[in-house]
Amino acid sequence: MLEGFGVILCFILFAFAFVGINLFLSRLLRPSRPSPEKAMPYECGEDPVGDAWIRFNPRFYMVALVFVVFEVELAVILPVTVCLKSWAAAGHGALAFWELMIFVGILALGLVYAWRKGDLDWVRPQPRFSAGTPAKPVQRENR
Amino acid sequence: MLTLADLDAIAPEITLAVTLGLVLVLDLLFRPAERRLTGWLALSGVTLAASQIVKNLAAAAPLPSAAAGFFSGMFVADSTASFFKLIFCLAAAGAVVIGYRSSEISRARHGEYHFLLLAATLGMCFMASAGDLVMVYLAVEMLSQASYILAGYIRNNPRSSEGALKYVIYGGVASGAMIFGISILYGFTGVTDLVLVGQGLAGTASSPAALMAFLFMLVGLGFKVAMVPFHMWAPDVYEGAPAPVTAFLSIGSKAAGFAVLLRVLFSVGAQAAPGGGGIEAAAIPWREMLAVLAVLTMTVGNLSAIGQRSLKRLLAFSSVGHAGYLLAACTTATASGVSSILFYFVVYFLMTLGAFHVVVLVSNATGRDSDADYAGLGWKQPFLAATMSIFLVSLVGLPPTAGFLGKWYLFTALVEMGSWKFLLLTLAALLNSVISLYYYVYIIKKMWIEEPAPEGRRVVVGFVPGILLAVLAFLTVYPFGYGGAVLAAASKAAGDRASFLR
Amino acid sequence: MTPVTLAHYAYLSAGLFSVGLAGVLLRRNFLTILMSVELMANAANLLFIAAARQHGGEAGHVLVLLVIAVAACEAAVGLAIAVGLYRASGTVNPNALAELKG
Repeated sequence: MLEGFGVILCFILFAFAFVGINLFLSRLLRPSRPSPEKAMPYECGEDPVGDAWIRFNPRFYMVALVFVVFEVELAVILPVTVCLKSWAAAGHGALAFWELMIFVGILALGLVYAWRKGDLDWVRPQPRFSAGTPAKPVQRENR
Repeated sequence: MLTLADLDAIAPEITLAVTLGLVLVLDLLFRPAERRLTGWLALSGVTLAASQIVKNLAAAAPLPSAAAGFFSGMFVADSTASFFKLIFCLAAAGAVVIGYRSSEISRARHGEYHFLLLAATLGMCFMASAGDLVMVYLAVEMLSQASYILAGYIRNNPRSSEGALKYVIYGGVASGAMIFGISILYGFTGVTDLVLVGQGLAGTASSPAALMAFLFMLVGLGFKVAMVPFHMWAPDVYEGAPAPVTAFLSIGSKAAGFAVLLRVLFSVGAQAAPGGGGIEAAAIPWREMLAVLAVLTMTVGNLSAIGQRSLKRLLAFSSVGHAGYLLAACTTATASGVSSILFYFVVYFLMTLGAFHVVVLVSNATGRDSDADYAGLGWKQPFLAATMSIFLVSLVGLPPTAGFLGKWYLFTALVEMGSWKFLLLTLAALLNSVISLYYYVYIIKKMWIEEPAPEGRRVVVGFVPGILLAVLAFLTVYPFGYGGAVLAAASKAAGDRASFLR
Repeated sequence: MTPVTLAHYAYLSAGLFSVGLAGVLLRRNFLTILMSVELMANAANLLFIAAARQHGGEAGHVLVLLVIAVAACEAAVGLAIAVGLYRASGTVNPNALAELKG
């Protein structure tokens, strides 16, 4: 029973070693010129100062949403390809390929839609909140 | 392996899927003011899908390999499912038509509205045809996600968004419960095909785990049909959503819930007796459980509807009450019970769409949704008030309306069962119809007896909506022209025993 | 040491599910509620994987991926609605929302 966990221990040790060795290697190779800007903890471009409960730019959310769509697509495609292996073996590889292509195409249509509607633009055409701002209803229907 | 027969069985769904893709593309190409025109595309797509369904339904022999299901048993294209799909298509077409002029949906967002409607319809069609627990879950979720967005469709309206948020929370819990129930079933039997799961449970049906799985599934499906105690979302969502969406959800979503509930009940809840000898109850006392829930649902729905000021909310609670009657019919598990449910949904579609259409027109004029707007409507606009009265009388179920005929068949199916339990259930349903009389007549009285409010604005009906209302009202008040044919089709569809037993 | 059986996983998953349900019922923050719903789905996922191990076959594994995909969609839609609600009313706290009651 316990031997089974030995494998896990190996994984853990390997994980630590992997990180450690890589950090060590990069330390050897890189030039070291610290500046206050660089020494700041990295937080996706946000200033990591003050309360974490600040109002984030909703743009982050839009990008995350599109990312999730394609991440999930990957998660679904992987098992499907495993299942379709037997189709390919039976000589129906083209059918399987186009079936997956339809699936990807539908998702791509969604991406194109978001793109055309301007939801991927980082800089909005007009500011939607005045500074300070308890959300004011703003007309933005005609996009 | 994919075959041509598979594609033939799924043709209506393919039509819907292609149409919704085209709607999305057209929405990108059109200018905001033109986007409403995508409704015509949506309407023609739905009509094409409906014609394909009718073709399947009318075929003398069922599609080849219908008995085994398509796509390795994932997809069942029997005539019961086809009949339900026809109702979904009707509901979608109705939502497109009455949404066309609704002031609650801004012009620039009509393309997305039609897209979401079609996506929800597609989910409903898959629900009706789901032959596998995986398909049940995915189809229910497909409908749910689209309905969440539709429910919150009025932007910058706190009520609409709030209703949608509650819908997401309740829906998330319900789907979590359902997938947990599915996981228990899978853990028990090691299969996901509905029929195989039913067979796998046969030996173990009395064990508490099977009961638990069944209850969890019931939570998920009961949420979709707005069964008490999982109905709490319905009034909030129905009130917050635009009226066309409310009509669509209260017809289509409910019908889809019943379609999948029937299939799950008859294959997982009850052990199927092979050879078409009827459906025998499993060791799980599902009939009794469902009967209690049915009585609760109709009573709570009808009692809560009393005293509602918002018409949408009133109709929401009334739809909870109707779900109760339909649940009662589910307990029979006979062909006549299923056919009465199918027939009732046709009738329910007519009167609910009509009532919501009037609500759309009135709230277009007044910009709100309150029973005060209906005061004295009969004096100012007799046509509108007369059609509304017909729909409301039919919702009560008074003769000679279609609603009466629908209830008649529901109760007949119950009484036919013969035992005192079913008689008691019928009695409860009758009593509830009397309760419902109170709040429907309250609105009728307001329209015809009370004086109109002095500042009241005139409701613009328009030509096409007027025709639609007149047709719906005529069909509701004179069901004898088509009732027989519809009932025959419904019994034929329900008599397809293969539908549930395969 | 007793071997870990399917029943153990079932108990663990039932526990996880209960924690998720309690979170939904007791917490008053929309994001926490959403996370609790995810926990409920993941309880089911755990049982799927355990059962798939027991029964063999890939149905359970595929189901897990599908559930994850659906849960992601649900979170995306839920958050989008929450953003919309925040724009409209300035709060996403379910307690502060009392427009619709009755």
